Amino acid sequence: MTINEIKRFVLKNGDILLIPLTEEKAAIGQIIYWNIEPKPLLNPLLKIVNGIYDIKTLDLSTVDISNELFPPIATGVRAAIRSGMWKIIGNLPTGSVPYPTFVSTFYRDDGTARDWWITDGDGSRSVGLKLPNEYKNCEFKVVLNPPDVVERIITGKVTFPYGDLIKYNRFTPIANSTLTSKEDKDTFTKNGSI
Amino acid sequence: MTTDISAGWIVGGAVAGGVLGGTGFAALSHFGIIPADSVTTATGSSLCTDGDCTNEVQIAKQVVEEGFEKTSQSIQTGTNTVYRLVENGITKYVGITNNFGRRFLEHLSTHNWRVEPIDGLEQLSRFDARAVEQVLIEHFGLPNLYNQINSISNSNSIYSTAVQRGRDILNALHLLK
Repeated sequence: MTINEIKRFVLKNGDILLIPLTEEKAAIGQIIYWNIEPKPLLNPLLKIVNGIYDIKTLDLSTVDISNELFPPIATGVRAAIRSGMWKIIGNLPTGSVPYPTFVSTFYRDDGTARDWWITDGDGSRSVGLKLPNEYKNCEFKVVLNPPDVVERIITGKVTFPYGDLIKYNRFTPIANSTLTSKEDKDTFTKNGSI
Repeated sequence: MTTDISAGWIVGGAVAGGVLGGTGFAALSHFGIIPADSVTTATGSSLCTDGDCTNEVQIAKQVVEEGFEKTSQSIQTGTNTVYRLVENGITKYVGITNNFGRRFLEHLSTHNWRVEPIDGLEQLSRFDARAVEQVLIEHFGLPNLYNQINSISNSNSIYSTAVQRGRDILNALHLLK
Protein backbone atom coordinates (compact mmCIF):
# COMPACT_ATOMS: atom_id res chain seq x y z
CA MET A 1 0.00 0.00 0.00
CA THR A 2 1.47 3.38 -1.02
CA ILE A 3 1.12 6.58 0.94
CA ASN A 4 -1.48 7.82 -1.55
CA GLU A 5 -3.55 4.71 -0.99
CA ILE A 6 -3.69 5.07 2.77
CA LYS A 7 -7.18 6.26 3.50
CA ARG A 8 -7.42 9.03 6.05
CA PHE A 9 -10.29 8.77 8.45
CA VAL A 10 -11.40 10.00 11.82
CA LEU A 11 -12.71 7.36 14.16
CA LYS A 12 -15.93 8.42 15.91
CA ASN A 13 -18.00 7.02 18.70
CA GLY A 14 -20.90 5.06 17.18
CA ASP A 15 -19.10 4.21 13.94
CA ILE A 16 -20.44 1.03 12.39
CA LEU A 17 -17.82 -1.34 11.00
CA LEU A 18 -18.15 -3.99 8.35
CA ILE A 19 -16.06 -7.00 9.40
CA PRO A 20 -15.74 -9.41 6.47
CA LEU A 21 -15.63 -13.08 7.46
CA THR A 22 -15.61 -14.50 3.95
CA GLU A 23 -15.93 -12.94 0.50
CA GLU A 24 -19.73 -12.85 0.85
CA LYS A 25 -20.44 -12.76 4.57
CA ALA A 26 -19.63 -10.19 7.22
CA ALA A 27 -20.26 -9.30 10.83
CA ILE A 28 -21.12 -5.84 12.09
CA GLY A 29 -19.32 -4.00 14.86
CA GLN A 30 -19.82 -0.63 16.57
CA ILE A 31 -17.25 1.65 18.21
CA ILE A 32 -18.25 2.50 21.77
CA TYR A 33 -16.56 4.32 24.63
CA TRP A 34 -14.39 6.45 22.35
CA ASN A 35 -13.38 9.93 23.50
CA ILE A 36 -15.25 9.85 26.76
CA GLU A 37 -14.12 11.38 30.03
CA PRO A 38 -12.81 10.16 32.33
CA LYS A 39 -10.97 8.05 29.81
CA PRO A 40 -10.94 4.34 30.71
CA LEU A 41 -7.71 2.40 30.09
CA LEU A 42 -9.29 0.26 27.43
CA ASN A 43 -10.91 2.50 24.86
CA PRO A 44 -12.47 2.52 22.40
CA LEU A 45 -14.27 -0.78 22.71
CA LEU A 46 -15.79 -2.73 19.88
CA LYS A 47 -19.26 -4.18 20.23
CA ILE A 48 -19.96 -7.09 17.87
CA VAL A 49 -23.56 -7.36 16.75
CA ASN A 50 -25.15 -10.79 16.94
CA GLY A 51 -25.65 -11.86 13.35
CA ILE A 52 -23.96 -12.69 10.05
CA TYR A 53 -24.89 -10.56 7.06
CA ASP A 54 -24.64 -10.81 3.31
CA ILE A 55 -22.21 -8.10 2.22
CA LYS A 56 -23.98 -7.34 -1.07
CA THR A 57 -27.48 -7.01 0.35
CA LEU A 58 -26.68 -5.54 3.78
CA ASP A 59 -29.20 -2.92 4.89
CA LEU A 60 -28.07 -1.22 8.11
CA SER A 61 -31.60 -0.04 8.90
CA THR A 62 -32.64 -3.66 9.44
CA VAL A 63 -29.75 -4.49 11.80
CA ASP A 64 -30.50 -4.60 15.52
CA ILE A 65 -27.24 -3.20 16.88
CA SER A 66 -28.39 -3.52 20.47
CA ASN A 67 -28.12 -7.30 20.24
CA GLU A 68 -24.46 -8.15 20.94
CA LEU A 69 -22.72 -11.44 20.19
CA PHE A 70 -20.40 -11.22 23.23
CA PRO A 71 -19.39 -8.43 25.61
CA PRO A 72 -17.42 -5.52 24.11
CA ILE A 73 -13.69 -6.09 23.52
CA ALA A 74 -10.59 -4.01 22.80
CA THR A 75 -8.76 -4.48 19.52
CA GLY A 76 -6.65 -2.61 16.97
CA VAL A 77 -9.58 -0.99 15.26
CA ARG A 78 -7.66 1.82 13.58
CA ALA A 79 -5.08 -0.57 12.12
CA ALA A 80 -7.79 -2.88 10.82
CA ILE A 81 -9.52 0.01 9.02
CA ARG A 82 -6.30 1.55 7.77
CA SER A 83 -5.17 -1.76 6.31
CA GLY A 84 -8.49 -2.24 4.52
CA MET A 85 -9.38 -5.29 6.60
CA TRP A 86 -12.46 -3.60 8.06
CA LYS A 87 -14.52 -0.67 6.76
CA ILE A 88 -16.60 2.09 8.33
CA ILE A 89 -20.08 1.92 6.78
CA GLY A 90 -22.09 4.27 8.98
CA ASN A 91 -22.64 5.79 12.39
CA LEU A 92 -25.46 5.11 14.83
CA PRO A 93 -26.15 6.27 18.40
CA THR A 94 -24.48 4.07 20.97
CA GLY A 95 -27.12 4.53 23.63
CA SER A 96 -26.32 4.59 27.31
CA VAL A 97 -24.60 1.38 28.39
CA PRO A 98 -22.49 0.93 31.52
CA TYR A 99 -18.77 0.36 30.98
CA PRO A 100 -18.29 -3.41 30.87
CA THR A 101 -16.45 -5.37 33.54
CA PHE A 102 -13.18 -6.98 32.46
CA VAL A 103 -11.30 -9.68 34.33
CA SER A 104 -7.56 -10.30 34.33
CA THR A 105 -4.74 -12.09 36.05
CA PHE A 106 -0.99 -11.73 35.62
CA TYR A 107 -0.72 -15.43 34.87
CA ARG A 108 2.60 -17.22 34.91
CA ASP A 109 4.22 -18.62 31.79
CA ASP A 110 3.45 -22.11 33.11
CA GLY A 111 -0.22 -21.27 32.68
CA THR A 112 -1.25 -20.80 36.32
CA ALA A 113 -3.23 -17.77 37.44
CA ARG A 114 -2.13 -15.33 40.11
CA ASP A 115 -4.59 -12.97 41.84
CA TRP A 116 -7.61 -12.13 39.73
CA TRP A 117 -8.56 -8.52 39.12
CA ILE A 118 -11.67 -6.91 37.82
CA THR A 119 -11.81 -3.60 35.98
CA ASP A 120 -15.01 -1.66 35.53
CA GLY A 121 -16.18 1.94 35.48
CA ASP A 122 -14.89 2.38 39.03
CA GLY A 123 -11.31 1.25 38.30
CA SER A 124 -9.38 -1.95 39.04
CA ARG A 125 -9.30 -4.12 42.13
CA SER A 126 -8.12 -7.55 43.19
CA VAL A 127 -10.76 -10.19 43.93
CA GLY A 128 -8.58 -13.09 45.08
CA LEU A 129 -6.90 -16.20 43.77
CA LYS A 130 -10.03 -17.66 42.23
CA LEU A 131 -12.30 -15.76 39.91
CA PRO A 132 -15.77 -15.55 41.47
CA ASN A 133 -18.46 -17.19 39.33
CA GLU A 134 -20.28 -13.91 38.84
CA TYR A 135 -17.39 -12.69 36.66
CA LYS A 136 -16.89 -15.79 34.54
CA ASN A 137 -18.84 -14.39 31.62
CA CYS A 138 -16.73 -11.24 31.49
CA GLU A 139 -14.09 -10.59 28.86
CA PHE A 140 -10.38 -10.78 29.71
CA LYS A 141 -8.64 -7.39 29.85
CA VAL A 142 -6.51 -7.64 26.73
CA VAL A 143 -6.04 -5.90 23.40
CA LEU A 144 -6.76 -8.60 20.85
CA ASN A 145 -5.53 -8.37 17.31
CA PRO A 146 -8.27 -8.04 14.66
CA PRO A 147 -7.76 -11.58 13.27
CA ASP A 148 -8.55 -12.84 16.81
CA VAL A 149 -11.88 -11.04 16.64
CA VAL A 150 -12.75 -12.55 13.27
CA GLU A 151 -11.87 -16.03 14.56
CA ARG A 152 -13.95 -15.49 17.69
CA ILE A 153 -16.97 -14.48 15.59
CA ILE A 154 -16.60 -17.49 13.31
CA THR A 155 -15.81 -20.16 15.90
CA GLY A 156 -17.45 -18.74 19.01
CA LYS A 157 -14.37 -19.75 20.99
CA VAL A 158 -12.76 -17.34 23.43
CA THR A 159 -9.21 -16.54 22.32
CA PHE A 160 -6.49 -18.76 23.80
CA PRO A 161 -5.51 -18.79 26.62
CA TYR A 162 -8.18 -16.55 28.15
CA GLY A 163 -11.11 -18.97 27.92
CA ASP A 164 -9.23 -21.70 29.81
CA LEU A 165 -7.88 -19.25 32.38
CA ILE A 166 -11.34 -17.95 33.20
CA LYS A 167 -12.89 -21.40 33.27
CA TYR A 168 -10.17 -23.50 34.95
CA ASN A 169 -7.87 -20.92 36.60
CA ARG A 170 -5.05 -22.20 34.39
CA PHE A 171 -4.17 -23.17 30.85
CA THR A 172 -1.77 -25.57 29.21
CA PRO A 173 0.93 -23.66 27.35
CA ILE A 174 1.15 -24.54 23.67
CA ALA A 175 4.93 -24.42 23.65
CA ASN A 176 7.58 -23.95 26.25
CA SER A 177 9.25 -20.59 26.33
CA THR A 178 12.22 -20.68 24.02
CA LEU A 179 15.10 -18.36 23.48
CA THR A 180 14.22 -15.55 21.14
CA SER A 181 16.72 -15.24 18.33
CA LYS A 182 18.48 -12.04 17.36
CA GLU A 183 16.58 -12.17 14.06
CA ASP A 184 13.25 -12.36 15.92
CA LYS A 185 14.18 -9.32 17.95
CA ASP A 186 15.30 -7.39 14.89
CA THR A 187 12.12 -8.24 13.02
CA PHE A 188 10.00 -7.28 16.00
CA THR A 189 11.75 -3.93 16.39
CA LYS A 190 11.67 -3.24 12.65
CA ASN A 191 7.92 -3.84 12.54
CA GLY A 192 7.29 -1.18 15.16
CA SER A 193 6.88 -3.45 18.16
CA ILE A 194 3.35 -4.65 17.47
CA MET B 1 -9.75 1.46 46.02
CA THR B 2 -6.33 2.79 45.18
CA THR B 3 -3.28 3.69 47.15
CA ASP B 4 -0.99 6.62 46.57
CA ILE B 5 2.53 5.63 47.54
CA SER B 6 4.26 8.34 45.60
CA ALA B 7 6.35 9.35 48.60
CA GLY B 8 8.30 6.13 48.44
CA TRP B 9 9.52 6.37 44.90
CA ILE B 10 10.09 10.07 45.11
CA VAL B 11 12.47 9.69 48.00
CA GLY B 12 14.05 6.60 46.51
CA GLY B 13 14.66 8.31 43.21
CA ALA B 14 15.87 11.51 44.80
CA VAL B 15 18.33 9.80 47.06
CA ALA B 16 19.60 7.56 44.28
CA GLY B 17 20.13 10.03 41.55
CA GLY B 18 19.38 13.43 42.98
CA VAL B 19 17.14 13.86 39.98
CA LEU B 20 13.99 15.00 41.66
CA GLY B 21 15.24 17.76 43.89
CA GLY B 22 12.92 18.76 46.69
CA THR B 23 9.76 17.55 45.06
CA GLY B 24 9.83 14.33 47.03
CA PHE B 25 9.98 16.14 50.28
CA ALA B 26 7.12 18.36 49.26
CA ALA B 27 5.17 15.15 48.87
CA LEU B 28 6.29 13.93 52.28
CA SER B 29 5.10 17.22 53.67
CA HIS B 30 1.77 16.64 51.95
CA PHE B 31 1.48 13.33 53.81
CA GLY B 32 2.43 15.03 57.06
CA ILE B 33 5.69 13.16 57.30
CA ILE B 34 8.02 16.11 57.09
CA PRO B 35 7.14 19.61 58.36
CA ALA B 36 6.41 22.03 55.56
CA ASP B 37 9.11 24.48 56.63
CA SER B 38 11.81 21.91 56.13
CA VAL B 39 10.68 21.35 52.57
CA THR B 40 11.70 24.84 51.56
CA THR B 41 15.17 24.24 52.90
CA ALA B 42 15.41 20.92 51.13
CA THR B 43 14.33 22.38 47.83
CA GLY B 44 16.60 25.33 48.06
CA SER B 45 19.81 23.59 48.99
CA SER B 46 20.47 19.92 49.62
CA LEU B 47 17.84 17.18 49.60
CA CYS B 48 17.89 16.74 53.36
CA THR B 49 17.83 19.47 55.93
CA ASP B 50 20.78 18.18 57.90
CA GLY B 51 22.64 16.83 54.92
CA ASP B 52 21.97 13.28 56.04
CA CYS B 53 19.05 11.60 54.30
CA THR B 54 19.02 8.50 56.51
CA ASN B 55 16.10 9.57 58.67
CA GLU B 56 14.01 10.78 55.75
CA VAL B 57 14.55 7.58 53.82
CA GLN B 58 13.70 5.50 56.89
CA ILE B 59 10.46 7.42 57.41
CA ALA B 60 9.55 7.15 53.75
CA LYS B 61 10.24 3.42 53.85
CA GLN B 62 7.79 3.05 56.72
CA VAL B 63 5.17 4.98 54.78
CA VAL B 64 5.60 2.67 51.80
CA GLU B 65 5.55 -0.50 53.88
CA GLU B 66 2.42 0.57 55.71
CA GLY B 67 0.77 1.41 52.44
CA PHE B 68 1.75 -1.93 50.99
CA GLU B 69 0.41 -3.84 53.98
CA LYS B 70 -2.99 -2.31 53.68
CA THR B 71 -3.77 -3.21 50.12
CA SER B 72 -3.01 -5.18 47.04
CA GLN B 73 -4.91 -2.73 44.90
CA SER B 74 -3.60 -0.59 42.07
CA ILE B 75 -0.85 1.91 42.74
CA GLN B 76 -1.28 5.44 41.45
CA THR B 77 1.84 7.53 41.04
CA GLY B 78 1.41 8.78 37.47
CA THR B 79 -0.01 8.08 34.03
CA ASN B 80 2.18 5.32 32.63
CA THR B 81 1.00 1.78 32.01
CA VAL B 82 3.19 -1.31 32.11
CA TYR B 83 2.08 -3.93 29.61
CA ARG B 84 3.24 -7.22 28.23
CA LEU B 85 2.90 -8.71 24.82
CA VAL B 86 2.08 -12.39 24.91
CA GLU B 87 2.29 -15.04 22.25
CA ASN B 88 0.27 -18.21 22.90
CA GLY B 89 0.23 -17.32 26.57
CA ILE B 90 4.00 -16.82 26.77
CA THR B 91 5.34 -13.38 27.64
CA LYS B 92 7.45 -12.07 24.76
CA TYR B 93 7.80 -8.36 25.43
CA VAL B 94 7.49 -5.99 28.37
CA GLY B 95 6.93 -2.30 27.73
CA ILE B 96 5.56 0.96 29.09
CA THR B 97 3.39 3.66 27.53
CA ASN B 98 1.67 6.82 28.68
CA ASN B 99 -1.22 6.41 26.24
CA PHE B 100 -2.24 2.78 26.23
CA GLY B 101 -5.55 3.11 24.42
CA ARG B 102 -4.32 5.25 21.55
CA ARG B 103 -1.18 3.21 21.01
CA PHE B 104 -2.95 -0.10 20.69
CA LEU B 105 -5.56 1.13 18.27
CA GLU B 106 -2.80 0.34 15.79
CA HIS B 107 -2.44 -3.26 16.92
CA LEU B 108 -2.70 -5.41 13.79
CA SER B 109 -0.81 -8.62 14.16
CA THR B 110 -0.94 -11.65 11.98
CA HIS B 111 0.88 -13.51 14.73
CA ASN B 112 -0.71 -14.76 17.92
CA TRP B 113 0.32 -11.59 19.74
CA ARG B 114 -1.96 -9.96 22.29
CA VAL B 115 -1.31 -6.98 24.51
CA GLU B 116 -2.14 -7.15 28.20
CA PRO B 117 -1.97 -4.15 30.54
CA ILE B 118 -0.63 -5.52 33.83
CA ASP B 119 -2.97 -5.45 36.79
CA GLY B 120 -2.36 -2.61 39.20
CA LEU B 121 0.44 -1.14 37.05
CA GLU B 122 -1.67 1.16 34.95
CA GLN B 123 -1.09 4.52 36.60
CA LEU B 124 2.59 4.73 37.44
CA SER B 125 5.12 7.53 37.33
CA ARG B 126 7.74 7.18 34.61
CA PHE B 127 10.32 6.17 37.22
CA ASP B 128 8.07 3.51 38.75
CA ALA B 129 7.06 2.21 35.34
CA ARG B 130 10.67 1.85 34.21
CA ALA B 131 11.63 0.28 37.54
CA VAL B 132 8.89 -2.33 37.23
CA GLU B 133 9.68 -2.86 33.55
CA GLN B 134 13.30 -3.62 34.42
CA VAL B 135 12.36 -6.10 37.14
CA LEU B 136 9.97 -7.86 34.78
CA ILE B 137 12.58 -8.01 32.03
CA GLU B 138 14.92 -9.71 34.49
CA HIS B 139 12.11 -11.96 35.72
CA PHE B 140 11.30 -13.27 32.24
CA GLY B 141 14.89 -13.04 31.02
CA LEU B 142 16.05 -10.66 28.30
CA PRO B 143 17.08 -13.55 25.99
CA ASN B 144 13.48 -14.82 26.08
CA LEU B 145 11.96 -11.49 25.12
CA TYR B 146 11.74 -9.33 22.04
CA ASN B 147 13.10 -6.48 24.15
CA GLN B 148 16.47 -5.53 22.68
CA ILE B 149 17.88 -3.84 25.76
CA ASN B 150 17.23 -3.40 29.43
CA SER B 151 15.02 -0.55 30.58
CA ILE B 152 17.60 0.50 33.14
CA SER B 153 21.18 -0.63 32.65
CA ASN B 154 22.95 -2.11 35.64
CA SER B 155 25.67 0.48 35.12
CA ASN B 156 23.15 3.27 35.71
CA SER B 157 23.58 4.92 39.11
CA ILE B 158 19.88 4.52 39.91
CA TYR B 159 19.79 0.82 38.99
CA SER B 160 19.82 -0.62 42.52
CA THR B 161 17.25 1.77 43.91
CA ALA B 162 15.04 1.43 40.86
CA VAL B 163 15.11 -2.36 40.90
CA GLN B 164 14.35 -2.42 44.62
CA ARG B 165 11.47 -0.03 44.04
CA GLY B 166 10.20 -2.17 41.18
CA ARG B 167 10.35 -5.30 43.31
CA ASP B 168 8.54 -3.56 46.16
CA ILE B 169 5.70 -2.56 43.86
CA LEU B 170 5.40 -6.00 42.28
CA ASN B 171 5.54 -7.76 45.64
CA ALA B 172 2.95 -5.40 47.08
CA LEU B 173 0.60 -6.36 44.28
CA HIS B 174 1.49 -10.07 44.59
CA LEU B 175 2.65 -10.08 40.99
CA LEU B 176 5.85 -12.03 41.47
CA LYS B 177 4.80 -14.76 43.88
